[in-house]
Amino acid sequence: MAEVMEQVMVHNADAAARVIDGEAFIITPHDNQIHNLTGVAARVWELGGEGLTVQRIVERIVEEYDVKPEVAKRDVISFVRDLAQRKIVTLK
Amino acid sequence: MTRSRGWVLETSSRSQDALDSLIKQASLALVPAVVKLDLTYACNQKCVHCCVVPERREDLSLEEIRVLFAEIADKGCLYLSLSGGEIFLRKDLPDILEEAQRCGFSLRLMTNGSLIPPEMIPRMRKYRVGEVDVSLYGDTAEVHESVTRVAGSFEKTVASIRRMREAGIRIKIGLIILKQNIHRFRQMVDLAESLGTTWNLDGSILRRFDGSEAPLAFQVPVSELADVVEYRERRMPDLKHMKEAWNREKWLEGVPCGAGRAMCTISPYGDVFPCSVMPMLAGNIREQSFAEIWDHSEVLKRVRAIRRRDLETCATCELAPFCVLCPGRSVLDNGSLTEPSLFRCSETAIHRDVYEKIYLEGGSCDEPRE
Ligand code: SF4
Ligand code: SF4
Repeated sequence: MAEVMEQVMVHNADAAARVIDGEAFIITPHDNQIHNLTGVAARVWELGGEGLTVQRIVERIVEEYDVKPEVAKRDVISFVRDLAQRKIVTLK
Repeated sequence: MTRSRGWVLETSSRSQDALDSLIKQASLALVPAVVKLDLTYACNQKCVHCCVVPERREDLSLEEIRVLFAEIADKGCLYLSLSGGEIFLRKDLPDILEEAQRCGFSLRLMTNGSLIPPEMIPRMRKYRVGEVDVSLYGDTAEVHESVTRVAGSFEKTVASIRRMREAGIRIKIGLIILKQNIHRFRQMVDLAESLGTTWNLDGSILRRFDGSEAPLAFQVPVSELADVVEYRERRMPDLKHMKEAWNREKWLEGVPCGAGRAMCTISPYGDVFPCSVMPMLAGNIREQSFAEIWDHSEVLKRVRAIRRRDLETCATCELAPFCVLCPGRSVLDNGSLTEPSLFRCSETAIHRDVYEKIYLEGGSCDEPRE
């Protein structure tokens, strides 16, 4: 888990993406699937555009939302892993 | 599709849902998320039912297209479809694709498939081409070419499809059903599946944008399309989902579709329309910027103002749960945004009959296919 926290999450540069009124729409080219992220999830994905580590993303989410740090950490990690698996982002 | 609510990631088996969300969200925010650009109306085929109307005006130049791409990207375009005529007749197509890729669009190419240079195929992935849509009119050269009226076109199209599949490109074959091929529609589906593509069966022929009814001579009478609709529903249940999800109050509150709100079509001459089947000129990008047209066109304002409850006949229609209401088709067929197209109404009655036959009379249905 510590390892993931130090990784930087970046958007898949080959995916087409737009944010419309706070919702992110991302089309992954390998499967031509469209993914729709809303609410906090859209925010986490958006933070991936800032070249932050997962650790820093968790901190930003804790600053911005009313969520306990341990809950945010657990959920953000599992969420970014899922995003990485779907090739929406990469973890470096 | 992937959809998240709060922290939770849900995966739906219907990618259509995410596209619907995009159209819905973009419709509310008035973002042209889905743009179709016709690159030329020149074509190497002579399809009997073609509804394209070539003019003497010059096609948009590469430079004009560059400016347009930057503008639509700036307004939030995500999906860009490039269509024609036949897009592979444009010598500068690689430059256009490169520019589209640079602007970050997900690309869909619409082609008859008979002119794709083999050397172009490996580059399509690099250009972020998500899908290539190819039209097919038969499962044999004889039937296909009775529509395209070009000898050898069937073999060329099928060869291109094979090459693209080998290169891992996603292809959707539009199986266009006309009087010439209605007797072969099952074999056409078999061919599409043997080629490893997804497919769509489409039996509605459009009159031309200039009002000419010539293409309608090839339209299969709606009553004879019931077999096609039933076959499609048994293979890819859609009416079932429509009926289950339908709610009259929500439906009445909504807008009929994303035309002019989330999507638009641009002709090779720069004319902007709310949708490819809605012949209402919103402006021309040679005279105004795209943003000016999108933000200020009176035509777009008129289209955007319509809610389903304003459509007098549709608002009380019992067939509404089975209807893919299309104001574009209404304008095309009877010049009115609010009067329903009689073709659409007859087609919807068939949808209802097929639904009842399959789901209420104890029929069975194959598993949905992706
Ligand atoms: S079937 Fe005709 S009248 Fe009924 S909702 Fe559809 S277009 Fe309107
Ligand atoms: S006008 Fe018809 S074809 Fe165009 S977007 Fe609306 S429903 Fe679709």
